[in-house]
Amino acid sequence: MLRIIKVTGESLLPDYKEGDYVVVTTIPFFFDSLKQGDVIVFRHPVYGTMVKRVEQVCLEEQEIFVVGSHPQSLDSRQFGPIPKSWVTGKMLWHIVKPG
Amino acid sequence: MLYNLVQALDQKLGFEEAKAHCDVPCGIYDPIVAQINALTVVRMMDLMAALEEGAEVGKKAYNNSMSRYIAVKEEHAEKAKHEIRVIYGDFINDAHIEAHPELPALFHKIMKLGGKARQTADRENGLAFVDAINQFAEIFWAVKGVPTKKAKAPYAPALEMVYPDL
Repeated sequence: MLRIIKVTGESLLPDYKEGDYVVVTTIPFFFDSLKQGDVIVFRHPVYGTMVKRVEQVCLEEQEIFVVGSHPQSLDSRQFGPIPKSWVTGKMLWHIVKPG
Repeated sequence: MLYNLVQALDQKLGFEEAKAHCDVPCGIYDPIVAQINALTVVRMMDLMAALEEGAEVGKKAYNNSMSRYIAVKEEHAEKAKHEIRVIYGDFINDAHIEAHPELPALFHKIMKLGGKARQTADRENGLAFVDAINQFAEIFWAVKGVPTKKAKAPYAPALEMVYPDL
């Protein structure tokens, strides 16, 4: 299945900015092949739905280390790697806000 | 065109949002704090100059007031520098600098003017400090896509300030 998600916040600047859209696949099959550089959407129990870039995948632990590009990004550097079960989407297309 | 189509669908259907979160509290940056601190520096310089013209020079009350004015000037010059450092370090990124290449030099200028505002009671330097921070505010709001306006501060010293035009 596909879903369209709107990006808010600035932690993935300059590649993804506030108001951009990402089209994600929600089919878990695609989460098995996640690799460094993929952009994923996941549901954090405290911070809600987040979009970040995959930095590292630990297959043994089924955990993913996610980061943003902004120096102040709130990501795995603060809250640690996330379990793969939190992932709700893998980005397929990026729809850039013009201007 | 694709974006406009998706945006129209979003407005109708309300797509889920995913936060590209920054450090909590994300996105709360405002140069107004630095602007008010810089304004306070000039205000203290004015109060110091007025005190010098009074009849109490050298007396206990004079020394008390003068030392307080100097302490507040020191504190607020440093606070203004701190606020600008936070915005520059935490918010401004490479894309912003690419769009506003004058930013690094302006940042450095604010740091130098702030240092001199602490070292001296030179009002011209104080005015330049306010002016430079106003320029920084103008760029900051441009980056955020917020229009600005210029208006005199509603308190002494009634210097012209840059405010977001909301």
